[in-house]
Amino acid sequence: MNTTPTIPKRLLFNASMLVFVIQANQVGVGVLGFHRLIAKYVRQDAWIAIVIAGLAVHLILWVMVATLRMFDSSDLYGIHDAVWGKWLGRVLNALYTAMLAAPTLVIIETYIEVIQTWISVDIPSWFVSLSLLLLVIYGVLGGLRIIVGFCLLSVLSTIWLVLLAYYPLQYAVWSHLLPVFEAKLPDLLTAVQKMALTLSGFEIIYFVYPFVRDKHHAYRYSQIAALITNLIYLIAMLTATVYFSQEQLLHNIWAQLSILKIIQLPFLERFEYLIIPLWVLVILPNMLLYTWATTRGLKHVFHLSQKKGVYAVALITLGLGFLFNTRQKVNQLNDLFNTFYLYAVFLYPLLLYVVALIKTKWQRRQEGKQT
Amino acid sequence: MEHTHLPASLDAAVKQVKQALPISADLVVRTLHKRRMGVLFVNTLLDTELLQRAVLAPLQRLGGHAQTLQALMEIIPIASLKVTDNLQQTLEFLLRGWVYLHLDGIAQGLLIQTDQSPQGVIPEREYAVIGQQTAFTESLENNVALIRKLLPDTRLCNESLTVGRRSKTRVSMLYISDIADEQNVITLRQRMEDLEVDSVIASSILTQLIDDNSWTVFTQMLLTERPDRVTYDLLEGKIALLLDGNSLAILAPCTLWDYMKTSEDYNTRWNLTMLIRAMRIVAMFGSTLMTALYVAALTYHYQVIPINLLDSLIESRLRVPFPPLYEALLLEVIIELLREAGARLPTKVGQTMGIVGGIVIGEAAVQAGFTSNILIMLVALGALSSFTSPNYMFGIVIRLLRFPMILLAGWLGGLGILLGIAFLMLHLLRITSLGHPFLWPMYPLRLRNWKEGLLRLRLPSYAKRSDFTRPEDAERYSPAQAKQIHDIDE
Repeated sequence: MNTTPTIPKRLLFNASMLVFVIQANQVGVGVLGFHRLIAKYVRQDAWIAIVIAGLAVHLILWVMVATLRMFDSSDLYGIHDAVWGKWLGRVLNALYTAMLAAPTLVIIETYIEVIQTWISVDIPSWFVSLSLLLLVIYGVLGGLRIIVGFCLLSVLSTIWLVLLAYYPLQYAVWSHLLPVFEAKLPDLLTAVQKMALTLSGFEIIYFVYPFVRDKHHAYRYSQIAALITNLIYLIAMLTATVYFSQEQLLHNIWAQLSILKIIQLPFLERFEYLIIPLWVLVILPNMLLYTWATTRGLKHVFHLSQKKGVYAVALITLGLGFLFNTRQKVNQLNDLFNTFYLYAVFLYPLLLYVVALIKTKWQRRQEGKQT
Repeated sequence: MEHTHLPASLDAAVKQVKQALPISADLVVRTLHKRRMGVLFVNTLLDTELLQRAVLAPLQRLGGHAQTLQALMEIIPIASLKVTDNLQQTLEFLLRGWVYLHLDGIAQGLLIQTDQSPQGVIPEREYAVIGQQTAFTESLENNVALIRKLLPDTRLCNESLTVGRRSKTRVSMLYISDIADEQNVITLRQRMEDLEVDSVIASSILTQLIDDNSWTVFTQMLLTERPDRVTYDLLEGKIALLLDGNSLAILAPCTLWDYMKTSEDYNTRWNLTMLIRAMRIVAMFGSTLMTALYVAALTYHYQVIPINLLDSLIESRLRVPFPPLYEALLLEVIIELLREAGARLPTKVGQTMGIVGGIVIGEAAVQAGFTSNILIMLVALGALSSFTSPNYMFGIVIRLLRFPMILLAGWLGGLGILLGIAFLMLHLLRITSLGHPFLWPMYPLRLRNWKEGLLRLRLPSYAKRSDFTRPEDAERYSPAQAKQIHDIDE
């Protein structure tokens, strides 16, 4: 079933780039402060929750790619149309489009909060948001290939930060990890759920898949990407657990930044002042990819050209930014979307897969009857 | 080597030579005595005066009597003559600047030495210590000859074009037919034919007229004055444009890393070059960011500076009345002024300028409490780094990029710098040169081709050409032989 028009060859990119696209899209502002949210429920067993959540990501990625493979060269919007029919498909597409526009706002607001907490309260939030959105517009106008390129450069220029774990690990108290398996199962599951927004980002495969040149390799590379992300989160969580005492960890909103504070070089101290600006390169791929996917949705559902779509999305995000101006509101926003993403990214793909499987089987049988 | 016999008939011989040198605007065929006799030569390579005096004049005096080659040899007053019946040899000597004389009906020809060494000047803009000491002159024929001399290849095509309604500037488009991408050649030719301008005076103007993106500060076509650089790049599949009256050749398509290469990189051993090139690339990034980092650190993030360093910084800034942003801008502008003033002056006066600028202004500025010593050092270091750019134009780009970076740093601190970097990354990703991505091989990621720009490896690893232009002749030399490993005592 081919539901979207074929994509010109010059717009395609290699499957190996999916490693960078998915990994860049999964890691974002979340990694700076997810530790406390997980540790709250399972304390020293937080790493187990992350492993479980990571395994869930691998499973869902498999389901997603399997769904995409049923429909030759189509993205989620096309699949919705094919599976749910014209009207229901359209409603779902509109919902999904709206949902894809949201992360940009969440990311910008969270990032501004980090900047104002750690660097300077004087930096006006509207200005940061405006300049980030201008960069997003500039990038998205270049097309997906440019965005993929930016994901690559972003990953290459920030992946070395993982090595910085060496410094806090010098002060590690490994007994903080004991006793293992103390957390109860319901708590563990709650913790896993809290990882939803942090781990999300791999759903971008639903939208970039038609643009992959060698589609038979897409599955392998997206799994590699998810594996890298899981390892990054695991390393981050383990470092935080052995570095901080439990009480400290539970009171640290941005644990990752607090850890980086101890790094000292002869010419540089207070590494977090370097890391926070550098995080622009980490969050931009997320914003670029999500905005791009939103414009694809707007085009599919409302036949709005992608060019106009970018401006519209950026303008709305900028406007909504003025509403979320306090820590409480940003927190609520994060919690709200965590729940949203839990359903839309972690549970819904399973349903879609089953329905799509039944539908294709049924259609094939109908065709068999006709001939 | 192949051995093809020359045909007896003049027309057939001319046809064969023309087939072997398909697109050569400088190949001339002259027939004499009602097509009984043919004279073939590549006119960029030979001494025209000698040809007329010592070859054409005696031949014309003959008056069309049937002759043998031996008889002709008697009347041509030139030392080196060669009788040949071999097409390959003929082509080889034609491309060395010899004249080929063919008599209709004789399956042999006469090769006459009339070549002259092309004139070169000493390179001033791209100097090399070990490399060739020749740069292009301002004569088109001579410049083509300089390249033909380094590359007497039958596949080297020389297309002739004219641009400019009034200036009627002659342009030679050089490329190697089985290495360059056909599509690039078509694109470039099309762009020049579509040009509707009254004049094209300089090659740098032509690049601005035909490049992909005219808004950006980055030049997308490389200008060089070195014939050896052009030859290296032709062998990598690039296309060279030579303009009459211009001593700079245009190379396209280019990548960012081409601007960080010099032809000296090929002359020095690989490990030395690797180190030097890495230093150069770091210097260029450093040059754009150095002053901006100082401004950001001193204005917003003094905490990142360790206490000992901060002490000396504060001490040197004690008497400076301006905030770091203005201090940095002031110094940067002074350095730019010095450079601009020096660039317009003759060398002798220029040296005085350097002393006035460097010592008098620099020393006095600190004494007067205008700037801090540390900033002077950083700005000078930044300027120095920008001059490591092998390409003059690219050096200007780097120095220009510093100003927005400093402003952003003074405005938003580290965040501003990173916003600037992010923009630069997106911008560089969007630039193309003749439709080829500017950041190749970084993106699209081609790890195998990193050796072409970012790295410089041992020569055996260059057995295969890069796939930048998807060359038909994909090998420089046999990769199997390059990989051959000998055991001990073999």
